[in-house]
Amino acid sequence: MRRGHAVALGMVFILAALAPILASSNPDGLEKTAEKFESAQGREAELLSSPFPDYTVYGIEGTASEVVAMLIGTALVFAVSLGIAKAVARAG
Amino acid sequence: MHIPDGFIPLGQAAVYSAAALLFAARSFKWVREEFGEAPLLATLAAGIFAIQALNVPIPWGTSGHMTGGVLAAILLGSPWAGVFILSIVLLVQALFFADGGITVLGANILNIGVISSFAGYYTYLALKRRVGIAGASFAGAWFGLVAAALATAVELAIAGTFPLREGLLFMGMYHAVIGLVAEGTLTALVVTTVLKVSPEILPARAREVV
Repeated sequence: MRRGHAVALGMVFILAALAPILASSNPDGLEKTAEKFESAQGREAELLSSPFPDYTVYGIEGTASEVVAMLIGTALVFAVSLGIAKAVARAG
Repeated sequence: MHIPDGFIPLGQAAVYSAAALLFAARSFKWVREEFGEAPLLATLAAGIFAIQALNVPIPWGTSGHMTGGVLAAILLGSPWAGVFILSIVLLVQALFFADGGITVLGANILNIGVISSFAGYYTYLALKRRVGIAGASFAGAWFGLVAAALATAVELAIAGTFPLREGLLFMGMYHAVIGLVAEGTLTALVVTTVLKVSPEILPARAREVV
């Protein structure tokens, strides 16, 4: 990994930690649109019990929970992408 | 604009999943044949996951976040970069964070990965010479997000969850604003910053296209 990558990755983790602190908690565009229509009510279903529901970690309270969840998620996305990209590149 | 489980019936969701799988597979081919820089792809994927958590407030008590497919496409010089990265980001979000449903993962990949990346990247290419890199990045990212939002509205209308006209109207309106304050602005900012500060981290082919 070149130096530019390492610096960029460091900035990504700083962004991940700051995001829950800075983010707006208003509903997003799709949720807000769904609120307007009778036909959308009561449809949403939770089929999977996710390990980090709503970007929180069980046993940690408040914003810290979201910060930890984001750091875990960012590391996870990095690792999964790296693994898949390397495996795919090797297959060729 | 991640669609949750329950908003699209299983049969329709399966059709979107099959289509998304074809596009995701084609993006794997792009990685294998044209782009082997795994650490750069992974860094960009992690960055897009992080930025998607940064919801920016917009009027009407609503918020929205950047989605990133167009950014990836511009930086790496191919819309398949956006498809590859967003497929993985959306998969992790659905499996681990209940952000976007698992049965509708294909629909979300089609909208936020495929449609956004292609619509946005080709808008960027068409405008680049006339308005410059910053302006074209802004316009491409804006259009990519709005195109994804409208596609989502059409799918949800077919599903019977949203009425077609009002669904298009509200999804279009909210995401037009999110596209201005988040997707367009941040994409232009990141593209111009990377080019200025460290263009060498980009692959040679992407530098040419940029």
